[in-house]
Amino acid sequence: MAEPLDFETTLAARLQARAALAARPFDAAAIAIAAVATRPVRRLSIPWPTVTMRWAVLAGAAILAALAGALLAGALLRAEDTGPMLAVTRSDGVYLAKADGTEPRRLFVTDAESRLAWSADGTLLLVLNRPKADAWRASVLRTDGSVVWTMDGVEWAEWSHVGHRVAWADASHYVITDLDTGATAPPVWSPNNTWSSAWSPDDMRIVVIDTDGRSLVVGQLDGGATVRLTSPDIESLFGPAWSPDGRAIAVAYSPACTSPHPCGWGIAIFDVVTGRKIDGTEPTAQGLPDVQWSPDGTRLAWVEAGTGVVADRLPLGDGGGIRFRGDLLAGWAPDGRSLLVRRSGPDFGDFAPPPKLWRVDVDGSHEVLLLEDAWQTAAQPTP
Amino acid sequence: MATIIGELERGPATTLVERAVSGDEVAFTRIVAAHQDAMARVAFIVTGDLDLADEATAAAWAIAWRRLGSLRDPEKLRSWLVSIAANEARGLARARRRHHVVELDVAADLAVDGMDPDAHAADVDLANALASLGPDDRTLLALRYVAGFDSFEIARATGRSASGTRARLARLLARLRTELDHG
Repeated sequence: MAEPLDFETTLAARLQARAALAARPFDAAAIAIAAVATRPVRRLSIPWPTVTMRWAVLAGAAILAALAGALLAGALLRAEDTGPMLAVTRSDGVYLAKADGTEPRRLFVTDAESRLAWSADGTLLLVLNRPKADAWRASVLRTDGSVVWTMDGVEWAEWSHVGHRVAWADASHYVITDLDTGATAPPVWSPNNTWSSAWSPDDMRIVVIDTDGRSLVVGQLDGGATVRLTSPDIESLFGPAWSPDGRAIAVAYSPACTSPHPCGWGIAIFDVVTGRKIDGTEPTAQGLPDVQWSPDGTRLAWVEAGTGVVADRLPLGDGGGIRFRGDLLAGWAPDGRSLLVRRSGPDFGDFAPPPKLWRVDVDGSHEVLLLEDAWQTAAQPTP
Repeated sequence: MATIIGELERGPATTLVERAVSGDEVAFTRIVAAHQDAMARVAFIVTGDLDLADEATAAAWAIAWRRLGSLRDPEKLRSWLVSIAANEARGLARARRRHHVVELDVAADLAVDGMDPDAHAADVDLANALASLGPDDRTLLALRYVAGFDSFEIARATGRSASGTRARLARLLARLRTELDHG
């Protein structure tokens, strides 16, 4: 839920006032000269094309554009692909590609995405995007690009493991929509959190982070008793992930920290039955780790601050995990032998070269570049 | 005349960027003059140190000069520059922490003439609260509340998902609310 506006407004004003301390007189020319001195630009001596040449260039570009359009149209009209597909968001939309990254074709035009997820049977794709500034929309698409369902104002959405149910949340509601029947209703037990939840493997429970941010709440969708998972050393939680057997939940955590030294993030594992934390890594990560269980539940993988880790489920904190390069874990391959990992260059952001999608064997022995320009990725499950 | 109209249609930022990319150092100086202040403010919140902020912005300008040609939309120049400065500042803050130097100068840099004593005390509280955060969290706050980025822009600038960014910001707000004894 959003913080009350008054505190957020006050904080913004205080931060801006503090930031103003850095607003000092400066010599723009000196700064520019120092920057230029790090790498002089080689000036091109090629003359600007004549008017005739410009028309020739434009005509050539038009022909190339027409050819590209024809090729794209052909790609969009292709009826089917064989084998599981990758859904990937690129700079100009959502694409589907074969599992090896070949033959990408644009499915959906958008320039802002937050989340991609396949339904459990791999027939429908959930896209959470932002058509306009901070106005989010959930859409469910078929693989031919046709739209099955949309909902505006959705800030979080999650597929069930069975059927085509979507648990979604806007600023004030948590609701489940069954796309097969059209029924929409809040669960009997109504969670509070809007940003981070997960269905249990048997679809009977949902875990959310409670409004205090420090505990997980597991609710029975049939209205049974809730279970609270917490630990006194935890201040913040994000991204709960159920183990495939439904007995444990892994989650990123940050400890209660009042010392002058900043606290990082770690991975905690909770026993769903007892509610107790049963394992965890030291909170040394400077980024928020996105943890995912291997398909067989024996291992965990996560990525934080440019480094990925594959570790045995227990014990997590022995430091013996396999490490690989990456800045976002896109997911495990269904056979559990490799991971899909996103990597950016030395700097990242909307204006840097787009990140790339790699497949990395879990032992770190083999890396394959699958796709250029890949922001978010979801691997299609094979029923 | 055609050239002037063309430049107006493309916008001043586009024209400046194109000229700088072609090696026009005067155009680059104008870009520095227009954006140094915004970059320095963000870098200061991330590092908590005026000297480190200067170092970060200097490094950011060197990067900007080398990579200006890769800027896909010149109208997003400010966001691009601020993102680079924030990332450089974050890197410096991390490196500083690894070398076990004092995390942040909390109050030493606040001896501002004419500052109201209450405002000064409040700023010291804020500086202490910022000091208890990591460079990543300070980067989120700086981009959101100093640079005015929305969650999607922050996500793209930091390589994270927008939903994760919003969640982290919400947690940060909750934490700062407690530490600053507000509400």
